Amino acid sequence: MSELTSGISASVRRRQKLHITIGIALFLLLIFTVLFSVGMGRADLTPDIVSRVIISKMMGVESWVSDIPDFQQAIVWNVRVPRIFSAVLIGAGLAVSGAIFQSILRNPLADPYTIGVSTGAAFGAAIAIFLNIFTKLYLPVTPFALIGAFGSLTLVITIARKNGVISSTNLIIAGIIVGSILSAGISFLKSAAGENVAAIVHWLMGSLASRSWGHVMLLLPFIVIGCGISIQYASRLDIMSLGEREARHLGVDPQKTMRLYLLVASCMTAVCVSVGGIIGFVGLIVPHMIRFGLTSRNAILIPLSTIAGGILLLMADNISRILFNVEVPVGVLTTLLGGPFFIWLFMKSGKGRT
Amino acid sequence: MLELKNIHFSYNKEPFIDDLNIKISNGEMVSVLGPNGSGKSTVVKILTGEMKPGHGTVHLEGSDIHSIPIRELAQRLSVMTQNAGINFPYTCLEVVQMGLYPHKDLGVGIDSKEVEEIFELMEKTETHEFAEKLITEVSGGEAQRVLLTRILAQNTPVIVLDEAFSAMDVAHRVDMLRIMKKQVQRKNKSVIAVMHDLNMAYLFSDRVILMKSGNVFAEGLTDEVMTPDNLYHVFGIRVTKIDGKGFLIETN
Repeated sequence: MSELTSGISASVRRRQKLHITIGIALFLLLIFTVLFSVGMGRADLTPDIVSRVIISKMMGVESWVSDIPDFQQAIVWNVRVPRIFSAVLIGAGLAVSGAIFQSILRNPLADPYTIGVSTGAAFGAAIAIFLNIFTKLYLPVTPFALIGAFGSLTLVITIARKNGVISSTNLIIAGIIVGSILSAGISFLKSAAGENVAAIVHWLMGSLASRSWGHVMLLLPFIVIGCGISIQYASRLDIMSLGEREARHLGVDPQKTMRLYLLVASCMTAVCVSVGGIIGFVGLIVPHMIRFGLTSRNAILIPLSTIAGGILLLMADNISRILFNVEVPVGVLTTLLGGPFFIWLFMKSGKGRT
Repeated sequence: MLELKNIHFSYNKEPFIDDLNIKISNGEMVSVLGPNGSGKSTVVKILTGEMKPGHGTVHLEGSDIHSIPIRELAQRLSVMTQNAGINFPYTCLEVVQMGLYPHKDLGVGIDSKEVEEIFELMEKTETHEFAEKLITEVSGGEAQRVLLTRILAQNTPVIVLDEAFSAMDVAHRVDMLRIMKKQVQRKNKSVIAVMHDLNMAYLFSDRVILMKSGNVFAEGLTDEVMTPDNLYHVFGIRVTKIDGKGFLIETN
């Protein structure tokens, strides 16, 4: 091995160490942010109360919290903790599905919403809310959003499939068409809802307020399994991002892999949108930043996106529930802050490195 | 050995390739020459199993190429395509390492011995100088050298190169062709290369397939096929041949 080559291999090792260090640092930051977030809120609860409630609930020891009033226990365990878990899971899910969509669509600017799954979810939710307004059926919104998401995904895949082959270009086109139609459908429902339009609008803005343990339990399996599959088959995703022909020549069945990842990423997106509404930019910015700042290798990119996505959405949700007098929907906040940040990132990177 | 027999192929029901027969043995380097649109890339897609011809068969070492699972095929045949544009910021080293993918089990990382082998290959192709640079930031010729190094890493008995040298400067073009030729001579591999550079094809090929509008115009030993007459019929240009050295192109 020449001097130059051993220099390179030393720098490769240094970079591997850097990735591990960043991973550990982010993980610690996530834990810190979670703990910090539970303590934060309008109701003034001491760290002592917060930690005792959490520990006693987790260990199942009621006697530790006998001196704490029920409503304070409920604020910690039934209001704050599920909301925080929801934020972390949705942030992680959106960031990872963003990374997957970028690879399978071969577009570093794709995000979980590019193929219209989110609009499908929004449409489903809008129907449920609309029916609730006028029929007093009290339909649950989340399952309707899920049905909408999977319905639109099926439609997009059916349109995109030609001669049994799904290409990334066709997926994007089909996604845009289906998304536009469903957006118009949402607008129709909004206008038909008349003065009750606020309920629909509010859901569409994306919020994590009053999310329950039920929501966490819905998110958990999808996000854990989705992230697990993507990490396990990360190198296959690398190869997919080179394009369908290249993937084939390197021994990856592009159609099978496309279908697997389309399903994984869409399921994650669907569940995230069903629970949290449309929360923009997390799924674009997190993988994009790691990709261009650190590495494109999905074996590193995806685990880091999982953690960083969780942190980012949790922090944004903290700001949305605490900083202002009126709660700002977190979806509005992420886009309001994420958009300009992305512009800055995009302009700084220059040289057409999109 | 790769064998194409009685290949017929149509684009939108219009016959394009009509009864094509090609045989490439182990230990030989075969160039495919012809003007734009003469069917070279179509032939590449057929002989790599990417496209199924309407009629005819493609056999790799006796087995039908379409019956070989994709992963196994990638262990036996590697392809470098034209315009394999990579949009994502992988380092050149990472791109070369992807050549190991068909030989690796899922989830198994690359061990230090393999890393060393990759470095050796990159030294051979002089791509180690920019191993840590992003593939999106190196020049077109450099990117082609990286992709050719990936082909070496993939280490298959059959190698298909579709205009793999087009963006390289003349010195690197010669170097890379020498490396490919060594693969043929020392490791008994087959290389099929679509090329535009007549002189390079003449200097490095054992055999030449000359294509014109979807058909083989002439095929055989390089010296016999690459004659001024044949080249005039296929390309419409007049050349002077200097035996054993190459061609001078006449411009008027």
